[in-house]
Amino acid sequence: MSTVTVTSRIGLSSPEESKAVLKVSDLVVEYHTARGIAQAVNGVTFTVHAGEKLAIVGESGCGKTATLLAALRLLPSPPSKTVRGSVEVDGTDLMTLGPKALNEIRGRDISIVFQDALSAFNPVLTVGRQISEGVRQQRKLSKAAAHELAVDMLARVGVPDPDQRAKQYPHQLSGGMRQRAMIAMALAGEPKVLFADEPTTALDVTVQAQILDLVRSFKDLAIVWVSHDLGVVAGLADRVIVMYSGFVVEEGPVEDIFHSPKHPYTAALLRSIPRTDEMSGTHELVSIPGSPPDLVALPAGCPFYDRCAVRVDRCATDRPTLERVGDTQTVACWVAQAKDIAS
Amino acid sequence: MGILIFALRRFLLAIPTLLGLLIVTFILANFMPGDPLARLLGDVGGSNPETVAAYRAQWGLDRPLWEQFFIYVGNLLQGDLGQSTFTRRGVMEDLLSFLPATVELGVAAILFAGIIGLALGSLAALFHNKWPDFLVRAIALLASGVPVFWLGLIALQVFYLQLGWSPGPEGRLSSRVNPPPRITGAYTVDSILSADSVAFWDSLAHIVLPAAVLGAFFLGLVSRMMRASMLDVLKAPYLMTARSKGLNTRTIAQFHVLPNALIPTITVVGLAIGGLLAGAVLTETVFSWPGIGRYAVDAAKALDYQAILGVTLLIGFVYVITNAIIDVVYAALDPRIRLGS
Ligand SMILES: Nc1ncnc2c1ncn2[C@@H]1O[C@H](COP(=O)(O)OP(=O)(O)OP(=O)(O)O)[C@@H](O)[C@H]1O
Ligand SMILES: [Mg+2]
Repeated sequence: MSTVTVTSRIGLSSPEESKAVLKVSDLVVEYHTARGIAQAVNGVTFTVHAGEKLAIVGESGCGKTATLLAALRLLPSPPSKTVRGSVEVDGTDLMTLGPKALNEIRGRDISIVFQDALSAFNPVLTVGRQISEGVRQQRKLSKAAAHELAVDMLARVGVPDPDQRAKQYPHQLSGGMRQRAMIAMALAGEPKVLFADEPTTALDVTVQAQILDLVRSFKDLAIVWVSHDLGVVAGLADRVIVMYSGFVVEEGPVEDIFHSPKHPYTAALLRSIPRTDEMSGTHELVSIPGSPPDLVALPAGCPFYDRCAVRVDRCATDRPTLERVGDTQTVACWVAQAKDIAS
Repeated sequence: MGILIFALRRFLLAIPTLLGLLIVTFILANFMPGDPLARLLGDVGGSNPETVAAYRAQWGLDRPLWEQFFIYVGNLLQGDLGQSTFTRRGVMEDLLSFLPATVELGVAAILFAGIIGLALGSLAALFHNKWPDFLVRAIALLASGVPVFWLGLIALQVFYLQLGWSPGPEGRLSSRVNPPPRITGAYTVDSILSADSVAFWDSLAHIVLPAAVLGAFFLGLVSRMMRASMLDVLKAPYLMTARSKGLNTRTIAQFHVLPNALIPTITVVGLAIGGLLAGAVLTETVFSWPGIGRYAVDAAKALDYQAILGVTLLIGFVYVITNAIIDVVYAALDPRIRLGS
């Protein structure tokens, strides 16, 4: 099981910043499939501080979405089951709350934006209504006040002509507009924490850049941003979590992760970023050889063993735990940990 | 208002369809098997060429088909559908007197099947793969699999003869009860409007069984469609969004699940309206219900050319109009249809 020492990891600049708004501890999620139990999330633990931007990266299927959804108790069950874990938002554990208390925190203290805004909006309700309906229920707003809130939120995320847009239906907005509207919807309750599950992947580069600028402008908002795109992560995140087959394998400040990755998987991931060759203008993509382990039958040792270039005998039998390596990073790798002690 | 413009457009579009219906029905009626004239004039008159010719001239049957058609349309526009040979009354008059009974029965059947079908379908989806789901699926299969005629006889056997819960196949009212004054033509409605509680309870008791029998097929269809589309909606990403906003169950059910689940259900229901009309003919026969179905059967038996033509046109008209109404409801529910993409 992975444990992370969270205290004093980030450079504490002010007492305000050190306040943890979200604490996810030992989250375990399973999927019950025809082939057996798939262990999709295996003891994920992380803390997010007020205003902090945390990125979760990893290959497709490593459990990023499952982590976010399970933390909000949104995973459909069956087929999934959140076996264990606590998710504390401002000290309240979501996992133990009844439906009513849970609904008072979801949308108000913590909310989420998804990748595909078109399917994330209900096609038969106006955009404005969907932006304000959560807050409207919680604060018992009048219809006019709810519309005003929606217009205000749309204006804040940079949607032109917000009064008109609020009255329109999701299919009438362009892709970038819809994505902004979804962010407005997630922020309407003025949450402290925002989850974002690859919200820019489906957008073209220009729109993607605009959305990132927008998100960066929310200084006080803590964000957990899931992404494939390490370029996006570099420009946005303070801290990065690297996941592999449901495990956190490395965590640290974004510069340290990018400049001196300690886990061989992180290093491989960084090498696989498509780079633009300055001379020819072509993209070269180095993919990581091999594939992640079968989640239905996880190996007893390190999950990265099969694909690892630096593995030692111990990696086949003992699963590495997350330990501090260097000043700022934690890594689940026997080799990296041994090297750290040796140096 | 988008929906009003949509409705206006949709009903204008129904006009060419109705015109097409008129042409096709008119031509088909001319190729009807059997010779109405021979039937009408009897063996003696029918074998006398002079009588036949005089008769044809009197009714305009000696003119070219297209001319007959324009005369027919001209009369139709003045509310005249010709004479029925077996009731000896105007066909329009006949239709208007038989129609309310059928409309009342049809509406009762749709209400019965719609309300129970939607409830059963939703229940099945909410208890997916648990016993309520299996039960509803079995009911749906039975309800839409059993022929109306047979179901009507079984229902009478059980609820009238065995249990005595329902009146027998004696039409819309017991013979001892006077019909309420005609306002809408629907006895249940008219008896309420004229505060006649005896007629109300009696007409209600008479309509339950035939409406249930006629609505059975619909009930099966609606519950199956509702179940399927609700299962889809329950998996939809926007429902996860709704939950992530902290909406309570009631709001989610009312504004997110129901409208979206109703859209495909309404479409399928609209397509099945034709089946309901066909079922009405059989149900009315089984229950001696004095409606259009009974009139149609009698007209067909008598080879009553004008009456058959009139009934066919009426059924086609009802079909086209109900479909237009369904389309408007569909558009009211779905802004993607109403406002275009
Ligand atoms: N409905 C399901 N049934 C069975 N297994 C599932 C189901 N949904 C997800 N999984 C498994 O859970 C694991 C984690 O999935 P998850 O969606 O969290 O991955 P992800 O990291 O978000 O990937 P991506 O980058 O592609 O979005 C995957 O390996 C997947 O095979
Ligand atoms: Mg995902």
